[in-house]
Amino acid sequence: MFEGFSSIILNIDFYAAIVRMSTPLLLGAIGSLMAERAGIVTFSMESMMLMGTVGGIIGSGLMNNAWAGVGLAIIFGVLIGLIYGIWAVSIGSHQIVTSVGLNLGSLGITSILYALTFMKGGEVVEEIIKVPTLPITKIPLLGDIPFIGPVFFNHYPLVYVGYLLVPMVWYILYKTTWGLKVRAVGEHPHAADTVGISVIKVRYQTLILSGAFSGLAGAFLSICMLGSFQENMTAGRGFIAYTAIVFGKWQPIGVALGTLLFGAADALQLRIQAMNENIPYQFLIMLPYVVTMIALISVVGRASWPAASGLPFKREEG
Amino acid sequence: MTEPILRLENVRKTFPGVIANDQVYLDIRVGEIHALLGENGAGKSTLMNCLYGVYRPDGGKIFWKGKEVDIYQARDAIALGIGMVHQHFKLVPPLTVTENVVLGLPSKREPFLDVKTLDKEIGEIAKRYGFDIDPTAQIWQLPVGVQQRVEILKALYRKAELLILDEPTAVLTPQEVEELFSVLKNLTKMGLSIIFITHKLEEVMAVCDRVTVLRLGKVIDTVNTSDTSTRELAKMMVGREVFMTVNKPELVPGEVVLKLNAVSALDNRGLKAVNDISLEVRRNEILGIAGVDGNGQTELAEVVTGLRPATGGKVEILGKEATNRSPLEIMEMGVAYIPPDRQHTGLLMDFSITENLIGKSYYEEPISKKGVFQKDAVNTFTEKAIKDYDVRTPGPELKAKSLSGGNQQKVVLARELSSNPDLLVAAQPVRGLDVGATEYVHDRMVEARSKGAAILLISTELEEILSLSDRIAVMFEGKIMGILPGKNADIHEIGAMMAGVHQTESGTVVREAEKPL
Amino acid sequence: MNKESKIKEIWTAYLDKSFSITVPLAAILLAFLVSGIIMLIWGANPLEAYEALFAGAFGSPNAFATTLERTTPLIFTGLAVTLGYRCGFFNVGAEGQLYMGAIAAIWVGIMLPNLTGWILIPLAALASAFMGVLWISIPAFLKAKRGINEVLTTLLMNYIAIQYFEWEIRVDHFKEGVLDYYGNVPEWGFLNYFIGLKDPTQPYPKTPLLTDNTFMPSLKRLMELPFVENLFGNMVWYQEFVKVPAIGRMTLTPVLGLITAGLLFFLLFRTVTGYKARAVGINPAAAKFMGINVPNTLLTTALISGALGGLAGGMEVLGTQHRVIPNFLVSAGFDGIPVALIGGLHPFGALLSAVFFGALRAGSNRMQVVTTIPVAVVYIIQALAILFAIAGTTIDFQAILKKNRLKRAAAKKAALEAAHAGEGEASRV
Repeated sequence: MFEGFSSIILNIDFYAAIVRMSTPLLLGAIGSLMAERAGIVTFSMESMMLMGTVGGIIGSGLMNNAWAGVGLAIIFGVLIGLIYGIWAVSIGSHQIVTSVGLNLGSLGITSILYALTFMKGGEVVEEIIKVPTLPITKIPLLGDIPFIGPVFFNHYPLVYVGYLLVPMVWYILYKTTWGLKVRAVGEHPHAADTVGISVIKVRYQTLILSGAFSGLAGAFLSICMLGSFQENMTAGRGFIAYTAIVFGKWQPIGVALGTLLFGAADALQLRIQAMNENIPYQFLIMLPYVVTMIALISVVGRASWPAASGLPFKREEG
Repeated sequence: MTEPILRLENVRKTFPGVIANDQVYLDIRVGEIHALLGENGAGKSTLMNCLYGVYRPDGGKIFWKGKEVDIYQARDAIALGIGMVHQHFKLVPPLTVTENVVLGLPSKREPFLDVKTLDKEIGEIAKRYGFDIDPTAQIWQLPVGVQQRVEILKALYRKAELLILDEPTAVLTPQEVEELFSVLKNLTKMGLSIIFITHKLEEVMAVCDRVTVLRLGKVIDTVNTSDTSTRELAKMMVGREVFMTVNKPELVPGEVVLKLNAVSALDNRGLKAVNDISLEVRRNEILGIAGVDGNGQTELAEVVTGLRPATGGKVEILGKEATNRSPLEIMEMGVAYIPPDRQHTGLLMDFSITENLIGKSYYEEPISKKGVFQKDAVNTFTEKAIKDYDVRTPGPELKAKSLSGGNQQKVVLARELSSNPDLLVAAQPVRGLDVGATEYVHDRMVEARSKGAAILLISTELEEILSLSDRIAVMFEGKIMGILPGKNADIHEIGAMMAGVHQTESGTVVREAEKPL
Repeated sequence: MNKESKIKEIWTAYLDKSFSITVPLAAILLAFLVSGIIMLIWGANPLEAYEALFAGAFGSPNAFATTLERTTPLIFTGLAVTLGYRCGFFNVGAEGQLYMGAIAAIWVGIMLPNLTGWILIPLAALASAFMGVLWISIPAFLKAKRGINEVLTTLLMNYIAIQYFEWEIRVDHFKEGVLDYYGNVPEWGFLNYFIGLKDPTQPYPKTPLLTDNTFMPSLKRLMELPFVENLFGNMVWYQEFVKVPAIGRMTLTPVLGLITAGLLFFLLFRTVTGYKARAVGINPAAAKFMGINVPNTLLTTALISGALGGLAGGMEVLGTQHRVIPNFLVSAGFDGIPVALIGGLHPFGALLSAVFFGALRAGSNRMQVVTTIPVAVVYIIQALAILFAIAGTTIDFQAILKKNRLKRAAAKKAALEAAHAGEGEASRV
């Protein structure tokens, strides 16, 4: 058992797999971090990702070009972001309940869109459709560094988007006027309102970004890793990404580390399973959740919640 | 004389059923501190909100530097050069001073935020105005007085020429008030004009050049502070209204029901709100606590009812120790409580009238037996309460929020008084009620007094205190300034004590003349 | 009071009461309408589809049995969410409680196979409720005593539960004399005896089928009771009825769901406990003013909510599946949330909306066969119903109406004043 375990962790592929498994979580979580910081609970990430998966397949399949799939995945994600905005921001309904509705809805919509697109003469296609996938792209020079190269720089292009996203979101949040608005809106929307910031507008803007990157995360699942679609193929990854945001205490670096932890648990689990030995890998998958739970219980975990999280904004009127 | 920076002409603002402001004329001169004085509900905040674009006035004109202007939203007011420091600061706690100050403004290198340069710039501006502020500190780390200066800095950074301060001293310690005053005086020397909203007379005299007194939404007068006195201002502020007459039988107070001995407590911010208060309330007696809102009255009521821990002293109810007991235990000692906020704590708006009526007897027989409600008993109780207290409703199963304010308060009264309590703590029992409902509530309280209850009445409405109380205690900054007889009380003496101007020599000792009959 | 204002008040009262029923009904109707458009795009006839859907859910004894099977766990999870929500505890963890409850019922069934059903079934149900309580206790305690957001903690507990479940059904259960799949004689071990629930004779993660003394009594069993048979045995309808296979699948569990809903209604609206819970859910500050101990009330309510979540799993095991496999009941826990909300957070509402959800799931296969519309369309119908219902309850229609009325009144008054002013001018001329 120990030998098997060491054979896993001594293998470079394992580390590359961690990066690969973390990417959809990272894209979703970091992309939605701005909406979270603006005070929106992005429980809806699951549906945005799911729409992204089917968007990727449809775009890639129809245009015979994986990049068209990426584009359509983003559009689909943004659409869900806007619908979520109508409910969560404009109407002001309960965000988690709305998300539950959206998640259920996209479960249906994705299957129908998929079936509609690949219907043959009025008949639903039974076999799995394969569409063009994004190629693994090795980064010149960096990709040749021993260990570092194969682990970090020999991946699908969207992995590199994830790398860039972390510092970019950090920069946007802390070093731009818009990022300042986002943070203010999430902490004290009425204060933001009195200095002339449109709380509603900022929240919609962050939701568009959340939708776009969650859509991208979905595309990663469908047109990078598989090249085909399955019903409910995100399988709760949106919720896991949401957990990673909480785990990372709403800080870009922390959230990125959170997604890595979940990705690592997943990668390790798959390998242990493949060894076909009776090792309770389930506890391994459980670990990140337990860690998050403990992080929540500790006092530090409580202070980082954006103050206006989940609360609809309404101007006090006379 | 130069053109005033701001002039209001005949401004009028009404809400459904209420005239908040009417025929308001006001002019603010360049470089003056102008006090806007008035009791709670006199229309000061509404007026300023009209000025800051939160509300739209229904009539009248606003002139800025001689030109008529329309202010639709806060942004317009800011653009004109009006800055407002709200009573509850509009600062984002986890952001730094600099981030709060520049929030919402485009930067020089849009869209990028050059934090370091800005920190330096803000630091320099702060220094220019004599503020000792670290621009990189996060707001939550700063004391309240400094936070207020950040608010002022925020307005100045937006090139404000007129600064509106809404009750700026409400949250400050006396030292911080001193500092604020010197800051304000300094600012006017630099050419700024300031509107200082307050209900505290001594502050008007201490720092303001002129004062406009508002009462019931109307301007009473504008005078120079050098030409007036606190007594005169108090008179203008409180007015000489015809007092409501309440038929109150002469009764001899009985045994002591509530006894407070050197009680102290903190408010929600952890500041001392109730400071060493001792008093007694007897059967068949109404003790009115007068005072301007926020001087510790609510906290006092909460200590008595067990909702707020006392940090010192002793509470006794009918001779039994009641300090820091749970609200339920105190309820069972025969204490009833009419909370000041009907909407949020007095009633459960989404509960039916029935469910609200049984809000204090739900766990007792015959309303419930072994934890199960007895429908017949509940119905009998409800029907009787609705009839006894004249609650106007199509049916008891309706939600409380469907009732008018007066009927809601009748439900509260029915809930609290139907058990014939020994002590009734009534905090702002008629706030927001019309004349008829007010009269009804007062009659009920007098009736409870006749039945032998001791009543602790807390109100910011002086009229109410004067017409109901057997004795009047005036509270100021958590202390009792003095206790006067209710009969023929001198309203001006009370007004002055409410403003903290005058304190009887003997402190809380009741004078001979007012000893109960 | 004059007559007009009296009528107005009665009308307001009526609106107030009917609001909670109208919104979900309108939402469901609207959901069917919008989904109909999707069906048209698909190229199918929505009416035909809905007819097939209905037939698939209620058209035959078999269909009806399937609907009942789908409905039962939803009743329990829906009630779990309803109760929690009423007290201000948003239980997103019914999924995890359900899994743990199922495990507990299986465990009791495996460990005590020789008990008579009269004892075994209630014991297994109790065990599942207990596991549900255990599973919610951490989030409940954290919320009540420390104020930690329960949405996240209950959600996290779901994943922990599911992984624990996945593990437990992969650990061989030791049974004297039973060889494992590879023909080996297993050794007795604590883990294998007390924890493991996997059927050792199977290669896949799967628990053994429980013995039939754990099976919830079915309609068929009831009909075959000697005294029932003696009573009706000669009648034709009886002889026809007992031959219907579906009555073997109609068990007591939906009836228990019905009773539980009734009990919950009683608890919420007829007892002091429920009164306190609802008071805390509406306004904790005001509840405190009424002498209610808010943390304790929260804790009690949340624990009962967890018990209901656990029972959902127990009932599925005892009534329908009698064994568990991975994903044995997909998302019935999560679906408790929409069930509760469309049910207007009322126990009987949850009952009805559970039937609505269950029927949609049950009838969707037939709809697909008849019209080629994929089963997935029922997700859309459900999702739209949730979205419309939540929008309907958030938007304060009455306030908007009132605002408009005030606006109109003000405009009318202004117009009148203007007219008067005009008259004044005119008269002077």
